[in-house]
Amino acid sequence: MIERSAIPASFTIERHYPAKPARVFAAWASVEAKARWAYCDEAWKPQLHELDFRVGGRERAITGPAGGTRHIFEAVYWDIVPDERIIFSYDMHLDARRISVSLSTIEFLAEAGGTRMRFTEQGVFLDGYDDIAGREEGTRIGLDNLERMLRRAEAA
Amino acid sequence: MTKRSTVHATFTIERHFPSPREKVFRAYSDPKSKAKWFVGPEDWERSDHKLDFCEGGRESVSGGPPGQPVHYFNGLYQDIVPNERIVMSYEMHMDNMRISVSLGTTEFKADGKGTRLVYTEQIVFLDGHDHLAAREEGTRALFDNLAAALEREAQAS
Amino acid sequence: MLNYKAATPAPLDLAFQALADPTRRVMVERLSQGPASVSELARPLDMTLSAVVQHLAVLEASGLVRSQKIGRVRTCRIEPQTFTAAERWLSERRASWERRFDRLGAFLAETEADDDPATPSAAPSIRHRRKKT
Repeated sequence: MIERSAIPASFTIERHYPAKPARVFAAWASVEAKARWAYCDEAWKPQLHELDFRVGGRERAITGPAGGTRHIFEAVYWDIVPDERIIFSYDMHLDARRISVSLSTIEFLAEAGGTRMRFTEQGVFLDGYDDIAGREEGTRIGLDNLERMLRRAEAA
Repeated sequence: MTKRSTVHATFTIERHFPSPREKVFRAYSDPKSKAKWFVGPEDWERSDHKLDFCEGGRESVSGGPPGQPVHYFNGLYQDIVPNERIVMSYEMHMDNMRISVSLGTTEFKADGKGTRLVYTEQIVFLDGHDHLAAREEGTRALFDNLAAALEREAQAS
Repeated sequence: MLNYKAATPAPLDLAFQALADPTRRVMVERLSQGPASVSELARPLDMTLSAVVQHLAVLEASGLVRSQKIGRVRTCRIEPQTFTAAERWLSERRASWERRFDRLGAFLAETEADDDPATPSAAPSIRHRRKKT
């Protein structure tokens, strides 16, 4: 039986890009653009990526190592202010198991030399997915493979 | 032109109810039961409360004091574990302006014969409408309503 | 700035800071393969022993690494319990977005030529600089 838990956590990432806010915003607004940067791992070919970029629209992406665990991302867009702000909620599944639900806010602020992009994620981590075998070799998620290194250390 | 800004905040409210988890959960899952407590203050006018309680289902309701801006609640159920947990994302509008988007997590924990309900809301307030205290207060008032509704139900049975 | 709220308070900030340094990452990578003495850790690193010891102190303060002195040998090992599942999730989410934002930067640089040619842009050499992750 799954032990139920829900742990909230938030973080903010800020980046400066030497491009106008409209261009940075546009990189979020189409499947073609997102395909160039938005997948967790470059080595994973997406099995599916759909994006209906409008308020109330949905996004769905299925990625993951070939023959391995399916990472499923499903989002709903709540707020879109062109060239200024995007807010969406999303959940992540590993195969059939939902591991988290999050709210993401992206702000595009004009500043000298380009754009400050501020990304804030407020999420809830569900049911301690630590037990899920999702760590394939070559998975590069995590602080420089910290997760993989820690598991190897545990086994040593 | 609207001056754009965001304020992020999180709050948690815990309440104990003497009713068992199944009954408290039912007050959320059954549209008739939910409509009895998921309401604003008494002087508020209210539109139809729509509830489709399933993962991916929607909920919406409008209300407000007569002649004043209308509050509109529009939510999406993200995760439902029967009798244990509900996670939903929702937005609030005042008249036609979106004032916030939230992620609300409700956990139902067995507590003796009753239930400890833990509600965590992670919010982004938009464009100057950051009224965290009012949001917390309004949420507490809803739990007061829920407590009263559960008590009436317990006495009736 | 890392700003997070978790139900269980934890020194995740310290761990992030500890791992922000490439030398310390190399040390952690080595320790992930098994325990090592301080001199073993120092061997491949191009710095004084006291510099290594200072890095080790930061790693121990963050809870990522534990060390024990037996006789004259100090042995270091990874402390896996430091990271609860929730913290691992948080650090993965954050790191996963950081990697994507690196790629976003590269994509913007690559497509800079698609910008309005009348608009003066930054040095064209940006297009040819790709950040290797």
